Amino acid sequence: MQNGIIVPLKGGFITGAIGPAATDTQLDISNMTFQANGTPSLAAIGGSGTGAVATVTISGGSKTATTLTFTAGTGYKVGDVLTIDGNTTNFTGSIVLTVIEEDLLGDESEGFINSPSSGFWNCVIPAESGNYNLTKISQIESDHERLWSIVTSGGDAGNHKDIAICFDKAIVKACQKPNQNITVTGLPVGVEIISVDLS
Amino acid sequence: MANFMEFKVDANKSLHLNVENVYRVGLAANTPTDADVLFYYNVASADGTDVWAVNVKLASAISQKSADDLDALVKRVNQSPGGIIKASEKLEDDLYLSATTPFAVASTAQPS
Repeated sequence: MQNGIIVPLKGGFITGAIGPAATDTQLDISNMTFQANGTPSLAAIGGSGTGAVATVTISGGSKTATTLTFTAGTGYKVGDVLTIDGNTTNFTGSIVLTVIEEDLLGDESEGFINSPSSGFWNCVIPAESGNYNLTKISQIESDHERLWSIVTSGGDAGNHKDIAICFDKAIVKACQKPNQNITVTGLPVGVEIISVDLS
Repeated sequence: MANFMEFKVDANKSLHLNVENVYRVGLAANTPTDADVLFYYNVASADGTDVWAVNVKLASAISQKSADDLDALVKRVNQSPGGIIKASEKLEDDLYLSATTPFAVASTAQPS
């Protein structure tokens, strides 16, 4: 039993390619019919997010080497099922992607910052002018300090303190009662959290 | 449950420092006034006698007396589990944290 902070992540896709379909079982190409090699940019429908657009790379004269590289989209979660309908020029039918952790920025749908078992959170360190998208939470333990690194998008000179204050409030709340998880809320408009890592 | 000291970021916003394990507060420099205030934690930071300290950087310097006042606030809030105390109880109401690096954590020698 412990306290923690739940951090909703952006739910965007990694920049790398997902696939190929021949070996990546999350890509279902059973309803896809190859027409021609190409790299069409197509919308992905379904799931809990919005705006997903993928570059579908079709090569080698068959569908088995097909990969997806997403260029847009936020709010997606592990387990979402996205469908990309064919453009008829390169393929007909559809490609179905079942989203797994590795597909998403931050490797998951939400991050979790748990209180250390033998130490404590002591403060939030706001992002600095060199990088307004890196807020840190200092965690002191005997012999060493650990830093939770919170990578955001949309941070700037005008809102980086407000980002820190959101995490500050969450920490204070989480520490006020035993066994309580607090979700970070109130981020400035346009700010999204990409990842949370303990370093 | 942790105890916190609240520092103003500006007129309406604040950040908190966990002071639960703080045993002493003092100015970073051995001078009459300083904007850097060290909060010493009773947590070993290395093999020797060094401890962790947080350098709270204020927008302007405070006196040794004000640092002592903060020390007293820490001791007071640490008598109330889960408590929060405002640094502004003893500091000027418009004294804010530094706009740059308001908190800096470092291993440091214990104060003399």
